[in-house]
Amino acid sequence: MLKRYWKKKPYLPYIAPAMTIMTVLTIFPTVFLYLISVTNYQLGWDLSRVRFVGLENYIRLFSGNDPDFWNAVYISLFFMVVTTAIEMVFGFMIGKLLCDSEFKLKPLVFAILIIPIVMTPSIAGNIWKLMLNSEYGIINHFLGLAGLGKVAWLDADMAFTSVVLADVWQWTPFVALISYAGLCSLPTDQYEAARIDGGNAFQLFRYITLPSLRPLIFLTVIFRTMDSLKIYDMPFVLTQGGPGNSTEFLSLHIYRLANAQNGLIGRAAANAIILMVISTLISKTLIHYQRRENT
Amino acid sequence: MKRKWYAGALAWMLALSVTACSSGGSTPPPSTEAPTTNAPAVEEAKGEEEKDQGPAQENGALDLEGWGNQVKSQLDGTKIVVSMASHPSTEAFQAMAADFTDLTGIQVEWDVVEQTYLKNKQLLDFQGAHSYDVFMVDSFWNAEYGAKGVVAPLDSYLEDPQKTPDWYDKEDLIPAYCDLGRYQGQTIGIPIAGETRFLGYRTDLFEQYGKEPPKTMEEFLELAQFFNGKEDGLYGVALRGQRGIHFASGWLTTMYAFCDGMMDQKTLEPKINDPGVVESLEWYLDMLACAPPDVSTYTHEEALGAFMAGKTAMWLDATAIAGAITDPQQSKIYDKVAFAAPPDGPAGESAALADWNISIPKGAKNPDAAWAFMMYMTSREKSLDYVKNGGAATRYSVYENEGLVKENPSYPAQLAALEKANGLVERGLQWTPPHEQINQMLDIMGSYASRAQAGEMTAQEACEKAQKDVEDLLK
Repeated sequence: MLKRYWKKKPYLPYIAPAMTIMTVLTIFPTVFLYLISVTNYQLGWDLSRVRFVGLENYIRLFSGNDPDFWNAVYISLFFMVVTTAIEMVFGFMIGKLLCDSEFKLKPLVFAILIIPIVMTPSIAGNIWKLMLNSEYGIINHFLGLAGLGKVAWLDADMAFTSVVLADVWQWTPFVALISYAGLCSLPTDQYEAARIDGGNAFQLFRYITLPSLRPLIFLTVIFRTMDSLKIYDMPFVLTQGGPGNSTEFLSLHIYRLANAQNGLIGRAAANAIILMVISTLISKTLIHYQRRENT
Repeated sequence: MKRKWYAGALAWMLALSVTACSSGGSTPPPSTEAPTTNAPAVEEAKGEEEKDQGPAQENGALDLEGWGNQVKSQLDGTKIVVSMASHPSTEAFQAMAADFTDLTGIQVEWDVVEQTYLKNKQLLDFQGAHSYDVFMVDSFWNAEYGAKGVVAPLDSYLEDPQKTPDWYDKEDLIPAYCDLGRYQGQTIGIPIAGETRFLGYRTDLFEQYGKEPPKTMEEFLELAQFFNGKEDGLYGVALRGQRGIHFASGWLTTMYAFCDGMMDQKTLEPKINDPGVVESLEWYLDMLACAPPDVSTYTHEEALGAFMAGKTAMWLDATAIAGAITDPQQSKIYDKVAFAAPPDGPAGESAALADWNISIPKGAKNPDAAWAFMMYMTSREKSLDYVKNGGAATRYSVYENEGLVKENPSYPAQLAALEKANGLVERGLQWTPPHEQINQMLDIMGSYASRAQAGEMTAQEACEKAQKDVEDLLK
């Protein structure tokens, strides 16, 4: 019978290993996460103390009893929009510049562009923490030389901007390299034809470059949006979510609730599920648009 | 469509779990800071010590060698796994471990992580693998570990003369530290690194401007305001200000000078909105205004760094890390600094009292070997080796040892601070209230206080909100 079943679905043995791994690594933990989000479970507790609390953990979030959560949602979304926009614009400009110009040290520029991308974010975070130090940081040193005075980069007013700065530094090259590859692969004949018809540089860019690169741009936007929505390591190293809660992104908020200092695993699980819903909604929307582009 | 949604949701769960797992996996190497003690003085001290020990050993059941042989006959080849924080005391243990293994045949495997991640690792292991035999436990965690049954009671080991021979000398351990390792009357931890908190100040600046070290909290604040901006790049004071537990820990250092703390220690009811607590936060925020501008990122390390770099005129923090300040290799101000006990406040004398303990986790595979390790490392017999290797003192005999006092000029101020900590005991208070959820409370308090420091709310509002959140947490 099994044989007949396999004959009917010959692909089964091939996808079985992948599906098994997927089940073990994602479905079990997800089910566990859902289960735990309706309990009051805390780290280190004996199971006898765990109580079913229904939707209390969710109600707490939506009734405004956890204002930190909404702040986290707000700054995470804001951060996502700001960094993605800046990185897309600058990255595209750098890509264009690199594609249009030929010079001897071009390989060196690529090597430099790759450094931030391959660097572990926690190490990059530590480097930035040193550079942004208001007393001995190199950035304030140069600002001082330029007569601009000291900036308290990791203070409540500036911490968010500093995290944006560090993220832009790390991920703009990624956008630049992808755009460079895309721009260089465009066929030249369309441009020649347009030039013969009297198109200027802006028109060439607006009517040829942008439309041909749209799928690629969409893909990059999806990558960057999702990545920046779940940012964790950089602000963890730079500010630990502070000062106040000015850089407590959703992932950091969940971590703060769940780690041993608090150990509120049940409440953290409810938060994690909401984050999952938000990110799924955003990625689905973007992917939906991208599919429509392609057809 | 529905299936697509689930697939998307699952993919994101995977991404989330990967992010979560990647945070705590790495084990940073232990700090390489070398303790600077003068070997000849310690040797001399050791000589005196041995003379003191003579008669005790004659009456004792077993001497070190005899005990070692006995343990070896039972436990030779056993391997224990030790979970510790990167800390000078851990380094001291590591330096002494080879002798221990030679004597007893017990092998020691180290798992040393940065202290922020230690508790996470221990609790997760306790719920799962039980791979450790010894835990290094912050006294802040003792009530929680006791209530959750994470660590085992040690009284039966301490009272058994076979397992704890006379040369261990229980009476010599400072009682205030031993009290921190008790939960509901049972000993659950042996103190290894005691600390109180005290004041460090720049003698050159104080002389130049004709100032005296502060006796009261009011004078302390005035001095901080006086020195803040007095010279180019000079600030008043270095304190902890990083959101969460670090802020709360700094705030707690001086809170008892203004009130009896944020919790009624008899009923264990929180009272964070108590006027005294609000006053203590207002005072602390005023002090932070005299600290370097990025104080909101300061843990004890950044605060220490700022003081050692000569950026601030004063510093109030842990005795256990003060050794670096007088170390010429680490500190710019090593020769122009003096120490004093913390100033008094309207509520009387107080000083912080905290320590690190070592405990045996429940479910440990080799508890006897673990006890042999703990007993050997914390014994009076080995206490000078321990201090010589950089460990922090928890025994009277060490504090009173003349040779060591010469070596470490901050010892008298440390003892004075310890006396003030006794003042807290006389008021019937423990510096960290013995509540199972004290860490969660401190995290909430430190979060709101940090928001008050950022100007988002007043001290009063921060305390009110923290009280409300804590009540919600404890219900």
